[in-house]
Amino acid sequence: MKQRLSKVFVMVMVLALIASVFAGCGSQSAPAQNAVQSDSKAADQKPADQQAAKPAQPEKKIRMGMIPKFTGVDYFIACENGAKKAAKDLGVELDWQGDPSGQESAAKQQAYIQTFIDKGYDAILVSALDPKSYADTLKQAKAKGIKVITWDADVQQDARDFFVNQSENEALGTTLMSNMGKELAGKGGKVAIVSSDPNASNQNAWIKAIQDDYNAKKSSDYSKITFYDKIIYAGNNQADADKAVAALMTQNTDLAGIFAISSMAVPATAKACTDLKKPIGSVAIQGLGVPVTAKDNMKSGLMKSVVLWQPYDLGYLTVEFAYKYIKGEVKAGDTSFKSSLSGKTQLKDVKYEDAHKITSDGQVILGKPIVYTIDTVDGFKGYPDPDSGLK
Amino acid sequence: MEKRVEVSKKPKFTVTYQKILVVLLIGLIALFALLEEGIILKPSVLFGLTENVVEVGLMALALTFIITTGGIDLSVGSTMALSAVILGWTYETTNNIALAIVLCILTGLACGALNGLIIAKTKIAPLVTTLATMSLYYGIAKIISGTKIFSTYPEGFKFLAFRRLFNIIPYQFVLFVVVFVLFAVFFYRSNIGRYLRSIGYREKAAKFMGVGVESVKFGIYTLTGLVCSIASIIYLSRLPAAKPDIGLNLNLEAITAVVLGGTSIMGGIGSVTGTFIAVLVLGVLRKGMQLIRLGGDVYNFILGIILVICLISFSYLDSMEKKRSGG
Repeated sequence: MKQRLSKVFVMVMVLALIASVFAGCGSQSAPAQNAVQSDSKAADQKPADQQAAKPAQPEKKIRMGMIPKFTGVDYFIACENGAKKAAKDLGVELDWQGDPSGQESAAKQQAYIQTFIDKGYDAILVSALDPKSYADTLKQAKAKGIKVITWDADVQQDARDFFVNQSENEALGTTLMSNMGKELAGKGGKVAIVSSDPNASNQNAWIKAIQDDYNAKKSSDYSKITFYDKIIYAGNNQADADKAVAALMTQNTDLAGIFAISSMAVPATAKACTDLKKPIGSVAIQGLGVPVTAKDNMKSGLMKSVVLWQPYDLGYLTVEFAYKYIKGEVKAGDTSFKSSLSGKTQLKDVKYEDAHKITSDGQVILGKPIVYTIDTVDGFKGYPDPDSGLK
Repeated sequence: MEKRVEVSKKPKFTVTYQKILVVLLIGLIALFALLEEGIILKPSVLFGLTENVVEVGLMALALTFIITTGGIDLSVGSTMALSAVILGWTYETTNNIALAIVLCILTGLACGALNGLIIAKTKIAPLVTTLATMSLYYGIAKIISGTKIFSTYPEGFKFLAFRRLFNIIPYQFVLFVVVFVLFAVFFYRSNIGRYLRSIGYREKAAKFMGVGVESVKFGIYTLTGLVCSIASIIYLSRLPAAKPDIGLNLNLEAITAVVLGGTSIMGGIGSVTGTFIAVLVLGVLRKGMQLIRLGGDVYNFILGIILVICLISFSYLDSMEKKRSGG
């Protein structure tokens, strides 16, 4: 009993302490909040050039919180480098938080979002692990006037303002399928799809696009190609992916082609082919993954190409778009967006179009998918050299 | 220093250690308040952060019982995930939320009972048993859900997560406190607490003293299963998407909370109050690290360090204890 009383006493002390400090803070934080409010009102009402002409509060930095699906993999490192470059160029304070691959969860992403709301950031940029888990939290953020922009992987449409998409899903699916068609021209065979996990919204969209393109030309161009009846989910860490693909290829020795459509699936497929001593050219691999990891396999001829975009530019565009959206330079209903990437180099001689397309459902499209070959693989930006995007 | 004092005067230790934890808790709050403009002191933030630890906290309370007996349950996360998937699946197919909740709770009970049955009736170590059932429950959840996420729930289901008592305290935290009080009464005021400690201290001696070791063990693992299913309901009210991987890594977090709370992983010493405070410490730590922009890798790193330090100090204390009683 005595123990408990002392505990209660300590608890009361804590609460008293908290209350007193909070009372002290209250007077300071109130005007600051007002300032933020009037600021955002100003941004809504006045055109951009007028704002630039009135540098009354230059210290008020725009603050954004950005969440990847997970950290520590080359793809998201490139995104991070791009996003940080944009933040530097625009004078934005960027808070990048996420968990290492294998430790990530929707609950943790939700906790980051909640923290960003607590800190009163101007925008929350999230690459979602699944489209539904924290939709309500994102809606709360929107209700508080925080701009919610998804990038890389979308959530349900009413929970975000915009989705910065790396490429239109149809374009990616068609590119992959037609590459497969070209490589298997004449001989045909059975092909399988290896994805990451069943809840990954973009992977699912690409699978659908691949299947749509196949079904459209089933009786003509792809008449000799058949699909393995299941989709293989290789997970979000390399060891699991290696196991899953090795199992697939051991059980199905007659596979003529594999769509490896996650950054883990590409190296896993290449590894399985090497381990099982598949002769080069016997399995057509259409990878959608980070080109750097496929470089050696392209050299050996195991893979002819890898399809991706520039994750560095995706990170850059997301931050820049969010910045301009906060400033009111782009708004809902716009059909195009001109960024500092527009018209610049995408890969080697290929350039981005003059403006990014904005679809009617609020998707901002980075550009067309890129087919990386052995000649162009070094044009990948942001990894392993963080500054390679500056060139 | 404090720990050395403990060895000589055992009854005072738990009190001292829990006080240290409370001081740690206040210290962390003060530290993060200083580092990040007092944001953590806003009632909405301070109480809001409990939302993220309630599921782990509930599991940790139940695990305190198990770890006090010298056992362990690694399957808590998978049990929660399977219960959640069953709830989501049942509601989606029958549209009957009451039935879904009942089945969810029965699932948790069944998972826990299976663990308890194997551990009480065979001599297979709890670590191995629950490692196996962890994969088993995860596998079942995966088979049921396939490629689907179950994400349709009635509006009222969000009650726990999005309403707050007096507009400040999340209801799930209120529930957590209630469960804590119940567990504390069992642990400190009934024979059960003594049984648990005696089993953990020396199982054979407990048996000779007439403690029904098998039924106690069966009971606590089943109870843990039940608690996991309650945790799954809380999880779904906050994050309405049931999928098999929602429980991954939760076992480690829960065990960390128990051990940080002053329960010895060797068994025999346990503290439900300690676990409760430790859960809050971990919640504040996690929130604070996020506020100072170090939420991901650094938080995980610190969690690992805490666990290692606790384990080493307990094994040290345990060897001291053995030396004393042996010599």
